[in-house]
Amino acid sequence: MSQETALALARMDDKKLGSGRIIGLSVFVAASITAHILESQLVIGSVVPGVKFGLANIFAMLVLIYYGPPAALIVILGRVIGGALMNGTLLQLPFLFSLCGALVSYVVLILAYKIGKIHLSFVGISVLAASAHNLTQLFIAAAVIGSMAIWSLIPALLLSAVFFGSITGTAVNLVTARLSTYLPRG
Amino acid sequence: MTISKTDVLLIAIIVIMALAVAAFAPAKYRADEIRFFADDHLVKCVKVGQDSIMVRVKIKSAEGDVDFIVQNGRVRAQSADCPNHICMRSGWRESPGEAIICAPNRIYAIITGVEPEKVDAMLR
Repeated sequence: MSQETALALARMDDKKLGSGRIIGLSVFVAASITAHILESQLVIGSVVPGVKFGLANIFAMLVLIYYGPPAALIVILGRVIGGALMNGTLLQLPFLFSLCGALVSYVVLILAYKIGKIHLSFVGISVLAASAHNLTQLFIAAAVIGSMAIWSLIPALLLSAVFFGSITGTAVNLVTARLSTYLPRG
Repeated sequence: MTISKTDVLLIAIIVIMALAVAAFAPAKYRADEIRFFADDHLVKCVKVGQDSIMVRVKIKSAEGDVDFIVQNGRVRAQSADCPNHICMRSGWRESPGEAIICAPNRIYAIITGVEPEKVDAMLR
């Protein structure tokens, strides 16, 4: 299916969970699972633990913009569960990290989008969500290990959230500038 | 949508927070063991963490003796037969790299550090 067809189908049923909407969301879930697996193969995560691109967040934000918050939650959960299935970490410790990070960053993403939309571009929203994601994972890691020593990772995780959040936010800025002519905002 | 001033401000705030945490972050290394030297030879090692009860360590050299006490990862010279007792007055030492030195007896205790525990789970 070409991209134009998918977008045209996605446009068909705006608010209801119609077939066009389901197909549109499936495309986004597939894309974000792909991004999730792709970035789990990159080496940066093994240099500083917990640091990653957050490419999948691009798709979560796009879904939030064009399909609304409930759809974004579906795509995020689909990505976390689907990605864990693909990586073979379902219901293991990394899955718990991934799930909690995703849920907290989802809440922050929604809040930042609803409240800060007037002042923030998607760079700021993405940076906030990435920071929330990284800090959540750090707190869970501290709870699991039962040690405060891991807190020395806070600066590295915050700086990487700023860096990679800016990249994904810029991507969303660029994509929305082009996609808004095809898709109505949710 | 292009990047706004608020974005830049937000990024600046987070970067400053990160640097502030980095400035107050605890030492990267933690104390591992206390090594006792006499006449430049390693004569005894006490692992930190296995000594929650008090351990007395008596170190002899050709020049004299020093009695050390190790407790809760800290070390102190309790008594020494040297003239100045500088080692006794240096009190408790607990951070990696710190040492208690008795120069006249050529005895010293040094705390070694190790890197924190390795990663035990990969986040994907």
